[in-house]
Amino acid sequence: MTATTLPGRPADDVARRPAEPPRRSPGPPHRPRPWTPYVFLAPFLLIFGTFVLVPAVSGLWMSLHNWDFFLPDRPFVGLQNYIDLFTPDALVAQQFWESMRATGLFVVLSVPLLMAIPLGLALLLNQRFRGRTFFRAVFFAPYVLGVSVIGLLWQYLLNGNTGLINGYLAELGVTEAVPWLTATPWVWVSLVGVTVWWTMGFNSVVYLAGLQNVDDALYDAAKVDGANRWQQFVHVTIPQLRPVLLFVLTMTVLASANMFGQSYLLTAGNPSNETRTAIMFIAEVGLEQFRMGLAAAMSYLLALLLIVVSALNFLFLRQKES
Amino acid sequence: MSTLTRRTVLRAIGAAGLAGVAAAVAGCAPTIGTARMPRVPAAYDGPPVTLKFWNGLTGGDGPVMRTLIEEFTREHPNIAIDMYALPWGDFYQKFPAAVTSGLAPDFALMHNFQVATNAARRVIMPVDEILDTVGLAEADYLPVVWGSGVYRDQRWSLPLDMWPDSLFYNRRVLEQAGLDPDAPPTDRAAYEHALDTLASAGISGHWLPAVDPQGVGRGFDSLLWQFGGEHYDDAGTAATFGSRAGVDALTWQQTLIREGWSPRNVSGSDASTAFKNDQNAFLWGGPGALINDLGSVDGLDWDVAPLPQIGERRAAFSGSHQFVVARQPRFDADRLAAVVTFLGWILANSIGWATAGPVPARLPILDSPELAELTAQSHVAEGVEHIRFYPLVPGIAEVQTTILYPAIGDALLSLGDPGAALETATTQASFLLQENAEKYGRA
Repeated sequence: MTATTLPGRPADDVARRPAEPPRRSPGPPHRPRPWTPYVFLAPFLLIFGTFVLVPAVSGLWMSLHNWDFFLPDRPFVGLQNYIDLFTPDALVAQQFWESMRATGLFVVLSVPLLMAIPLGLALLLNQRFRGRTFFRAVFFAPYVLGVSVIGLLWQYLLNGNTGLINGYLAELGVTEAVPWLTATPWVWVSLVGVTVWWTMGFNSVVYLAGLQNVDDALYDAAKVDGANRWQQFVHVTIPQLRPVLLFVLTMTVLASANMFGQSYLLTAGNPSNETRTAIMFIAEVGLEQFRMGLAAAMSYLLALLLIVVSALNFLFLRQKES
Repeated sequence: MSTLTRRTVLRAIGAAGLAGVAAAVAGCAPTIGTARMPRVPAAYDGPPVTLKFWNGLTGGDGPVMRTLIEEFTREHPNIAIDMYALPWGDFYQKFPAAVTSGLAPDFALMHNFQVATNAARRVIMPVDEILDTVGLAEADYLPVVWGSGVYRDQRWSLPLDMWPDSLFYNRRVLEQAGLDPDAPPTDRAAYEHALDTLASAGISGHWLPAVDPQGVGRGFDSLLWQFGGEHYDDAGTAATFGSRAGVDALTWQQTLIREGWSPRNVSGSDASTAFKNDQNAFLWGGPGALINDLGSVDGLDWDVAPLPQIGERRAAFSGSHQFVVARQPRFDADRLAAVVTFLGWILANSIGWATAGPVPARLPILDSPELAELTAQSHVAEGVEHIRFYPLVPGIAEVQTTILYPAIGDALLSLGDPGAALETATTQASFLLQENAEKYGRA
């Protein structure tokens, strides 16, 4: 927000136009009214308020009730929904933390791969070679597909008994069918693999944009100092990419923590709810069992946790800078 | 000078936000109408009306219903019907929401096991008063079907059809293994003998889905009833599927996999793919989904029979599509009369619906020569006297699909202790049942 559009600093304006007679209301056309900025912001605020602010606050309200949208009576239960989530014997607490574990595991397994592989890819695609544009498009292509398409596609490929991948493996002499979608650890291999294949193109493009902003003079200087390729990468590329890395890390952590479609469509939470992620469990409790108050409470806990994680990201990468 | 500061504005926005929330909270409170249905004649002859009809007939059954509606409108030119089909899962979320916000359709079709839930939510109307007008008589229905629309001493729905889980069998596979394709097994000994024979011919005879929620759960349901068990106690507040009968049922399902009669890690689509490619002999499933699906495969030689008796008695899971009248803020006598006219017509002409797969709920139609002409449907009809429905407990469908079915699936994937698996699920289900009883009891 710029200072000149804010009220409370009229001195600048007066100083700039000394010859002007004392202002009358309606002022000169180029002098913004105090509420002008808010009028400009209004369209966004309206949408933000309707789709973010009101749902967020009403969700908090909901989480304090035993809330079923379709029933007229929604008794106030105070913090009971939250207390239930922290009562070790309570069933819902076990299920919720089990689903948080699944989400956490997915983040831990997928984020490093989604940070490293796209970076390597971006470095390759930043070289000059024939067909570079083609390859950039190819690696980005899966990202434009919707999660339902991805789910259906990989369902056909990974199916244990009738899938294409096991079919080819059998022809290569693998006698035992691999339960890609029904047993650990294969479920995690499948989910992480599919997600990496699907979304690495996006991270690559962000890295690529960052790489193109690195000043060539820095590499020249490093070469003059006798730095080899690896040293150039560590001492020039990485520090220059730090803001981009922070962005990619934050976005990837949030995206992975919100994973829903892949496990919903591919594994349906199997085996033993091992791959039922937090969002999936929240949807089941809130939108299938209609225990909306409880689901809202879980959503708030998840959101709080993600805010903390994102804040830590920022702190961690900022400290290194100083 | 203006005193409009950032702080004031933020405060104003905050207040507006809270007011919005309050308004939203007040606004979305269900407006449960107290309107009563007017008395209406059996045949509507007033000015033209267009009725709104919602259902979940998004598969091959949708076109069949639309054809019937066209036929009805030809006979009753003053009643047009706008049919809106959306996937069942969405239907059960949107239908109550539409009713509570005053945008209800005139009538709808829903599953029998969702009727009590929607009655407790007060989004559908008791239909006792229009029963005679529509022309429903107790003698025309099986007791289990007749009773399936009655909740808290009132009738809420009119049964259209029944879709009992049945034994679909691949005749060519049976024949190639040296079994009689005209005599599918009817009891446990014969069934296991057939599976053994198929196994020695290198065929897994009964691909048992461990992942598809419908396939897994409903097979267990039928077996639980066959072994003499019940899912829930009479009050609907405690789960009893972990009893001896439940353990026997699940143990037998695991045996199918242990003996190699079913591959491991089967999904619902695997089983039917294998069946269609002559790699699977038996499928347990409902006629609504399977008759038209299998019928569309060229060169597939199949037939269907009632489920074999594995336990101590015969029993088969069944569902039923039932018509309900949506609650309106204010009932229009003309529209309601038109609804009643349509319901009376379609229930009397439900033979037309049988081509979609399910068999008519009305017994005189079930015994009619027209049904005998539909080979598969008439074979399904042979087993209807043994059908079982889920009990009429609000919220029961969610207890089944979110707790029992996943537990069965897990036990079939891991082949772990069936008793332990069912015990955990029993605790979870009883907890949710009690919460539901309290929640819906207040309504």
